[in-house]
Amino acid sequence: MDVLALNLLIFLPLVAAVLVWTLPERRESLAPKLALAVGCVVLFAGAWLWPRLPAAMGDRGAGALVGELKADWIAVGNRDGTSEAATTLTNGFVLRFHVGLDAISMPLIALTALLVPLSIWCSFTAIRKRQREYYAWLLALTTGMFGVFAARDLLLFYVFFEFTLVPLYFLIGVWGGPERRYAANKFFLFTFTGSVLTFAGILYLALRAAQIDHCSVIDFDLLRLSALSLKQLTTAEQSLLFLAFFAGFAIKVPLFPLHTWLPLAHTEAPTAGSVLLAGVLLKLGTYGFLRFSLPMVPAGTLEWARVMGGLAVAGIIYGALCCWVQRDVKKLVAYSSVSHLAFCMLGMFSLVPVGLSGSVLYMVNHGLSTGALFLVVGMLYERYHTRDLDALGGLARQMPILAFFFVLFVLSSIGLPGLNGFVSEFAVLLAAFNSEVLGRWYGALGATGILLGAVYMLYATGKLLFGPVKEPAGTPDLSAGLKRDLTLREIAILTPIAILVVVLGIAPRLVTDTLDPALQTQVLARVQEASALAAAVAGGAP
Amino acid sequence: MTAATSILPAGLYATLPLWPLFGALLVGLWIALRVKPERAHWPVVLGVLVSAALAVTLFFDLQRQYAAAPETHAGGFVYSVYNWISLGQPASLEHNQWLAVNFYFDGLTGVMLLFVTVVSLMVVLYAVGYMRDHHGHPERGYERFFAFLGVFVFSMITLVLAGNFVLLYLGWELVGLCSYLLIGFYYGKPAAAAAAKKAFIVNRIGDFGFALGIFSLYWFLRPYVQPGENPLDYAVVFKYAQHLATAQIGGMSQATLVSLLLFCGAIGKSAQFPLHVWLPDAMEGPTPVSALIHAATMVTAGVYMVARCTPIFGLSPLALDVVLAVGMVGAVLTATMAMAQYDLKRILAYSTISQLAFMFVGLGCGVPDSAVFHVFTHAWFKALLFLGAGSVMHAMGGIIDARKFSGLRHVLPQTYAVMWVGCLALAGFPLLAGFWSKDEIVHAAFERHAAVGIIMLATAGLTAYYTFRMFFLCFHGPLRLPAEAGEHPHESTTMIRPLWVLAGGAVLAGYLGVSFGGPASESFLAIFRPHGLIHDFLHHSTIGHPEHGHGGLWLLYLSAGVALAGIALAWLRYGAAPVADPDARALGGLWRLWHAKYFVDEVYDALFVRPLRALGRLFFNTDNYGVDGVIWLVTAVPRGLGFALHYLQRGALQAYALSMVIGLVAILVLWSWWT
Repeated sequence: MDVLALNLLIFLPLVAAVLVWTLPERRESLAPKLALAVGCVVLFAGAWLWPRLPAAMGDRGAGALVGELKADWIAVGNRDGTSEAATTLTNGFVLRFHVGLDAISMPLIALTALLVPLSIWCSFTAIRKRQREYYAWLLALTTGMFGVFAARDLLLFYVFFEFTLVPLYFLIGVWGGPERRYAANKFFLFTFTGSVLTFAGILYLALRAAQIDHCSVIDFDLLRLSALSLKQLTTAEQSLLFLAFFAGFAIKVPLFPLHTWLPLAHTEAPTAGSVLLAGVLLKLGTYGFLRFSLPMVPAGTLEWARVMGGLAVAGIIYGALCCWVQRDVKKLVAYSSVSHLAFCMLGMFSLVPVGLSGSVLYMVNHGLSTGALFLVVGMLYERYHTRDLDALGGLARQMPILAFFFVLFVLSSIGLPGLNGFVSEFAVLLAAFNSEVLGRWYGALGATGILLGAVYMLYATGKLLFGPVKEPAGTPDLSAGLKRDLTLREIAILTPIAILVVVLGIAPRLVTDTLDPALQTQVLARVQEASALAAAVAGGAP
Repeated sequence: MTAATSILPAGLYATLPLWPLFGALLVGLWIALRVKPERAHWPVVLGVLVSAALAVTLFFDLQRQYAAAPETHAGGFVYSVYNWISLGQPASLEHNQWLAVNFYFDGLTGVMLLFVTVVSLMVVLYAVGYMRDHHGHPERGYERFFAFLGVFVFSMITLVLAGNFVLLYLGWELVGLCSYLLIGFYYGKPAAAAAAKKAFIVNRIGDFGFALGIFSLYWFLRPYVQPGENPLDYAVVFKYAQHLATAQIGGMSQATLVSLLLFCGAIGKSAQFPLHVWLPDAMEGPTPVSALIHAATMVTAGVYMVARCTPIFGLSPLALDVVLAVGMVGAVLTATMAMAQYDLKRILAYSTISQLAFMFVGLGCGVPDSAVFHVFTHAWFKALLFLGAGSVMHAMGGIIDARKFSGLRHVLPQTYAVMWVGCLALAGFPLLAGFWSKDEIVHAAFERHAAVGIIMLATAGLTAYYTFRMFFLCFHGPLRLPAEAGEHPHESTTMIRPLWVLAGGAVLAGYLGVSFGGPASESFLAIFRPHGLIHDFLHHSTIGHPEHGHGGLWLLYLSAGVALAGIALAWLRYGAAPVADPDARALGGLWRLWHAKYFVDEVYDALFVRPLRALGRLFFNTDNYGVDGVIWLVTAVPRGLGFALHYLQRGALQAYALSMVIGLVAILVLWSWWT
């Protein structure tokens, strides 16, 4: 059943995408409903898998996989004539379809499973042209996202990683704002350029792995690649490999100064695209660092950790200050992602337990609060056709329900204790401050983010919600069947996120209880090994 | 607190913060279901009532226990609710470390809870009357107001009860949030929206330091923490605090660094110089909010925190000196600012900052028990004063400028009476609450240094003067009313009743901190001796037994004389509520400087706000032109190459043939040359 549920997550949206695409034109109105139905199935499958993880970990330890499926996909090489099985393959390479969920991927899978139906649902009134294609691309994107987090094979990961580009390219380029073409091209070229370098890194690592293990078959198995002997893979090699991974992942995160594609892509994307981009796709980068860079090239990670920490701190401050001067509220939220994801990176490269778990928690929390903020901004835009902070004002009076949700998500985003954002922010900063790799200056400078975050978010809140009422002429436009304040559908979209924002603030252990041991055994242990090795080398040299 | 001496189980006391929260959630439901707001105050009133009842019970419980065992002053009682945040498993320890949700009960908690809950209850009751128009219809947002008040009381109780630094931080930030929401209650007013934002952000500046203080505590104490102990728990931190005194960091002791960082938080929350700028603006909120949050409870959190951390601050003379200096500067600056204002609520706001500064002077002089005693008495009379001002404002149709009215004793007799009590208490009139506690601090100041004592005494005189300047301007002289007041300005009985309770507190609260009897020659007026029940309580807390000098009784008489002199001077100059301000004429430029609040806001704007925004604009432009420009240059290479090469591929057959021939020749030449 687990296997079925997991593969349902990956393949059902793809099948549904084809179905939706090929709907006859007179059945166009069926497309959103069908997509939403698939979204709900996905949500249920995700909810069904969630409690399976603690059970599996109880049985099989911290590295347990839920719904594991392993099959050869492409196997090239000399086969032994006697047998058909791939195990007898020599002098070739094998690409496996190997999926499974562990404690590191589960929170992100759950996040995706939640955000997908919500982003489909939020498009009901916003998207009115070429609906079949739209929902088809959205569903295709869903497949890519689940695939990335479920992949247990590095090349399979890469396939899904690149696959996500295509649907999003079309979502932005066709249904986006006025500058959508430029934004989509920029988005595609940036991320694609980076990931080509990553691909080279992957190939090199797999080749070296085969060489080190004296094996004539090149494979890309995650576990195998993250258990290579650190003595054989030199630090210089690891350092270069880290840079190769960096190229793809850092652009995706996006880490300062490679972030310039993001504000544009976010601003031009339709609401659902922004929600999934911020909520899930940016985490591909951070997840990539956590899953691949850290355990596969730990010595390289240690070499570059301070640089990464420095870039993260710079990103926190840079992103926050950029937010403060935005007039377009969507762009403001987009820049806040730059700042927030930098927090995430700061925690990760502190390389201490609380930092890593805080970092994963940050991914989830950022997905919830920023995703929700994009949803709310989208709802505003549908009514007022502008996101200009100077053209809107005093909306708390016009839309008290929207104001409630907006303020709640803003508070979550600026890390108000009691809500989800605080837990991860606190963990990340505490970790950076106490890290042996980074140290207190990184923590202290990063902590300015909690101040600047309040500054720009409350600046936007004040402009948008408070003060005298200001609405552009002829708005709100309620032609799509909207009400002045939020409709029931919109409330139903935001409520689950609002509940999670509170619940995860009070009980972060829902995530961290399974996460901590997994991070310890799969990631930290490798880093500690590399660090001990480096210490031994340094001690033994004189 | 052990089970044997307690009549209620600790688990029940641990529900103290939750009742107002439940109330607030119920009101939230009320709003969601669109029930009429008429009675929306009930859930919150009841919630706060239950909390107040529990707090009073707790107080007496503790009192019984301390009376039974006066000599034990060990740490308090910890009640752990659940493990909240995992701090992971450090390599050196077998067990996970946690940040728990746990509560810490000791004498300090008892004292703080007593006034926090009871004053809150009075304010909530008052608000039932205040948040209505003259016909008794609830104002727009009535339910929202009570929901926020409920959340505020919840947060404040959590802050006080917290058993570790992170939960303290939670309460700390949540009260800041409630303050933000309530200052911005009239969000349609741009001034209110701006004030709310300012309050939150200025508080966050302090919290930035506070958070760093918590991080450093964790950093410094981590090596000492044993398995099973959670770092950042009060009990654990104070147990190992001694280590901080000796270890050095950056040229100072670790204790100094931690104390100074934590103190940043206190400066922000308690609106001390240089972060005092938000509090006067916070007066844009409804008056009950000003009374509760910006006078009686929330702003005292800074004092509470420093008192709570006495085991850390006490290790660092340097940190205590900084606290003292900040307190002194703040006391004088804000007292002078209060001299030159007309807005009743703003005068009271400045006096609040000034009084809080008194408390910090007490803390800086090493007498945290006296500081907390002043917190305790101050809460009663300051809430009373604010609510009295609110009663004036309500009757005057929202006008609060003392230049617009006078002689109100004729129309608001009850308000007049309670304001007498409140003003006398604030002025330090003998035998009222403020007198006892302020005097202890002045005493300690003299012990510390004569100059400090004289400055504090002079500030006390100023306090008496400006308080009664305001009082006389408002209530004395000929009856003058603004047009907004309508035909028959009157008081609301719903609002007056809680005022009498607070007035009782303003008279009596001081007696919880003095004792009676003893040799007549050593007692004030042959009856009163300093240090009473409150001090006993506080000695059973992390404050311990601070050393008090035995300053002479002469000081008590002197400070009584100073207070009387200040009042008398105010009477001479303002007793007839003159329309033209005599001080403004007499003091000239100095008065205008005070009136303009020393231009601190303008300086901050020029020094911080504008440069940072300019930097933001610079960064954004860098993004748009700088980074993208580089990328444009990089992409220009292939683009330029393509552009250059496209001349070769224009579809002209002759050109292709020509280039083919040239290429072929070139290859042949090269080949022949090679071989």
